[in-house]
Amino acid sequence: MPLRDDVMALADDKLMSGHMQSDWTGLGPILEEDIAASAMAQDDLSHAQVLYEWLGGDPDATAFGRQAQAYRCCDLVTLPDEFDWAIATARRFMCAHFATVLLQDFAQSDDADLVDRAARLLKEQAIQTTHLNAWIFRLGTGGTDAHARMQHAFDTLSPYVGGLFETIDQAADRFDRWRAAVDPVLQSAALKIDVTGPESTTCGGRSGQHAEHFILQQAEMTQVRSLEPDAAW
Amino acid sequence: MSKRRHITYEFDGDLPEGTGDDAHWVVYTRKNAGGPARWAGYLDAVDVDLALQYSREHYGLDEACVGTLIHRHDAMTDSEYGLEPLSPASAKGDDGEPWVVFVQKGRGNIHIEAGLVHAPNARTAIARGIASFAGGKVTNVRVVLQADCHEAMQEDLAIWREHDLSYKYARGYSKDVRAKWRTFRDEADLEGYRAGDIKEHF
Repeated sequence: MPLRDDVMALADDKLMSGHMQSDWTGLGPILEEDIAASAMAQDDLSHAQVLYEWLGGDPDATAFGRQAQAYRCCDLVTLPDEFDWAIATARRFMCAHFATVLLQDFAQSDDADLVDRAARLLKEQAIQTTHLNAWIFRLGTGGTDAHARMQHAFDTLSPYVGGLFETIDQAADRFDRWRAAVDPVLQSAALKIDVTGPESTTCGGRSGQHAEHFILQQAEMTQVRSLEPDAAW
Repeated sequence: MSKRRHITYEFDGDLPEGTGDDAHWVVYTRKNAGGPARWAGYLDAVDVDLALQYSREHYGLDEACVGTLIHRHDAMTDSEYGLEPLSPASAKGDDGEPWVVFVQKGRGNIHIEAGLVHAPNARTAIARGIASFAGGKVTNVRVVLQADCHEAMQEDLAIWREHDLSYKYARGYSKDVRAKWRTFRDEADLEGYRAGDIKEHF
């Protein structure tokens, strides 16, 4: 069932993105951005919850109660950023546009409930893409140091971009739409990303073959659940 | 606390000098369409686009609202602050540019949007603002050129989230969970002490 698989992939991306970005809370480069980024990290966690609910079952159990190989997030979302704001921003930018492409398709699906959920999430996803587009432009055009850091970030992350589309239905079409969204922003910021196409043959996170950095993140994220499975918040 | 937070930052040389383009902005929120903008707080941002985005993400999530209004702090002019309500005035006229008028109904209260006046300068705008909106019942009038006010609206880009936000609030942090966390933390501390003790003695 490609649709359910894609929903699970995006939900897991959102969960891990929210978890990773939450680590920046209190550490953002400026106070206002710290608050904004934290709010968007919370949005990602909420979006994961909305999608898990559609998939059925207890969202908490889905989020925190699975074995590592059952998660379908891509490698890009859990790659450590080492508190490099350029890496974190570049990753959020690419993942946010990927999420938009999938949510647009979910909003056109035959499932009325999913259509309703995706339509709601798309409004909030636009907050992220608008905000991140603005930051990519500012950092890309913000002087030689900022530009160099951003280009380095995209160069560092580009090998992982193909993994976004691993196992994703209609990967080629969605990849083209993703590029159509990110390329104008990158061009306006004089930045480039060296990705030629979706790597459908990649066997990584979307296939449950996670890198060590995911295992560490997942272990930390599920620490409380492991200690007290029935904890209620 | 996440282990990742234990990273120690190392800087090579001095941090670069600030560019000096950071500005202080005043933020108001609208609870409903057509309703007045109510003072919410302040923020810093380098330009109006970022300031609007931050106003949404910061103050737009404090309570349900449909819009935010911002202006630079140095774009506003306040009337004299006093203990008593401003005396009624009769300044009239419709020449000049439009100014947004905010009124404060009592010392310590927030400024709330009251309406527009036209005036050639801030001083005249205040006089006309008092005449139009004070009515002997407000202690302060603030005027800002309408051209210096910028708005973000819900219909353009979502501000207030539609999904369940209850998980964000501290009230969900129950005593039971707090007790469990303490148990977990204490166990971790004990393990750390044991490890240190063994290392020290053997």
